[in-house]
Amino acid sequence: MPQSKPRKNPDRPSFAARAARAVISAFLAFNLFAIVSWCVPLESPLVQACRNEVRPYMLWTGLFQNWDMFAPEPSKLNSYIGAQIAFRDGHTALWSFPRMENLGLVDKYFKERYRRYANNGLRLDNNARLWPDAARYIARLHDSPGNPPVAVNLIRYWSVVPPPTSTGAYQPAPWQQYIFFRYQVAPGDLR
Amino acid sequence: MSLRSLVRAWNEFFFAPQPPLPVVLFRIFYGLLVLTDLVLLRPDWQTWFVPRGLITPETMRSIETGARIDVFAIVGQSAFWRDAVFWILLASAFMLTVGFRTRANSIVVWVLLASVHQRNLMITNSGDTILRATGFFLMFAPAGAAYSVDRWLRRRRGREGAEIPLHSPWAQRMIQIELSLVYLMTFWTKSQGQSWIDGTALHYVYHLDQFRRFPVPAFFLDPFVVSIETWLTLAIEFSLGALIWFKELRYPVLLAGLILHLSLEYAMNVPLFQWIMMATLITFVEPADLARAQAWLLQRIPLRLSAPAVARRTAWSAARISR
Repeated sequence: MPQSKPRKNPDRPSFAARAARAVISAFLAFNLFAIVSWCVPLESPLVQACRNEVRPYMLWTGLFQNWDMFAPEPSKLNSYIGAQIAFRDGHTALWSFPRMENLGLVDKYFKERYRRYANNGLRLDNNARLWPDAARYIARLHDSPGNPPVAVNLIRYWSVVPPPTSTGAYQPAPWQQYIFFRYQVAPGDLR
Repeated sequence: MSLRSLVRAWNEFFFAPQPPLPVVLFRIFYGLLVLTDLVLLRPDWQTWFVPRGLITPETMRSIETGARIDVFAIVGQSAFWRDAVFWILLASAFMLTVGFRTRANSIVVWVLLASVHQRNLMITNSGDTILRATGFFLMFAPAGAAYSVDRWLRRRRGREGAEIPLHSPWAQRMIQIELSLVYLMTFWTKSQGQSWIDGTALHYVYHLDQFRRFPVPAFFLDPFVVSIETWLTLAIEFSLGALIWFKELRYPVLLAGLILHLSLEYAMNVPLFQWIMMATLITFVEPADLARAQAWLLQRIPLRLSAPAVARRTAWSAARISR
């Protein structure tokens, strides 16, 4: 009966194990390269070129990331987003997304995503594509068969956080507001 | 240094077998955090994910272009599938937590969680990004190797003995590296901000009303104390990114990290983020120390285990520690 030849070095991993390790190593090296080049806060042409190469992979897997919480500077604005809704009978109403500072402890946990959406998304000019959807959504929230909304104005409210004083006394700045988007509601928007 | 030594160091770091306890514990916390996240999302699920909600799928795709993992693109946007995705994700997260069909459920959780995030990226925060990134590597980890229904079933069928098999920690290492990068990049970006250097940054953070949770005692708002807190935050974030890799410094750094995150949890309303970070820090705890902690717990907590079972487990832990 043929005997299998004893391996020269029993501690040495088998070919299959070494091949698996090589494949995993390549996977790890690629992921390290992709993640670091994506999140490193450098804007050199080389880093940009690397990001472009790994972009499809990072987007598809959801590994895209940037770590700039309160950085490089924390926000110096208290802000929220509201809306002015005009109805067919001529009266208007004010409404706002949930404001965390007015909510109880439990509601703050549940509603925080509204703050994220309104303050970090909807408020910014470079997210203007969000504005019509938001206006239509607010119109639908306020729809009533006899007196539908005819216009929705989105409003930014903000108050600057003043720099610290030597005594530590803090006096918040007054609130300001600005209508940043006006939307005429079409009948189809309410369906 | 030679190339050969570099390869050896790489292999030792990523592939030298070790007890999988850190990543197993991380799996349990990860599952619990996904479950909590879903519970928090549920009341507004329709607002965020219906086709005529606050953001339509078309708008989302026009802002965030490119091919993305998205089951909604396959199953459609009907009310049935929106709810089905929620309940399947919830069930999978539960099964991942208890370690039943761990690998399969880690894949389902990651795919569905990424899909939910991609459907509405405007409501996601840094905690969601960590869940996605660590969840990706968790799929490759031996996350069901212990404290799991899978292990219980394997033992019952005689496929595994009392000892938990050792595993290559490469997936756990990637989770560690991911976490380390979070702190390092945050530190790097903050170090470019004037207010972080002159020590006033936390003054602004403390006065952002939308983040406030519990009142911060007046002592901590004193300008001098705020400066110290600001610089301490930078120092701890740097330590969690860099110094945590040195065994001698690891536990003091982990302790500082826990204090930082618990303080932030007290003062700031960023739901789950601090818990996600603290859960991920578990991957840095030495397996031998976790085994020691387990032995200590088993001797003190009146679990319904027979005396021989406790003795056996303690002996296993001690054997691991001595390796």
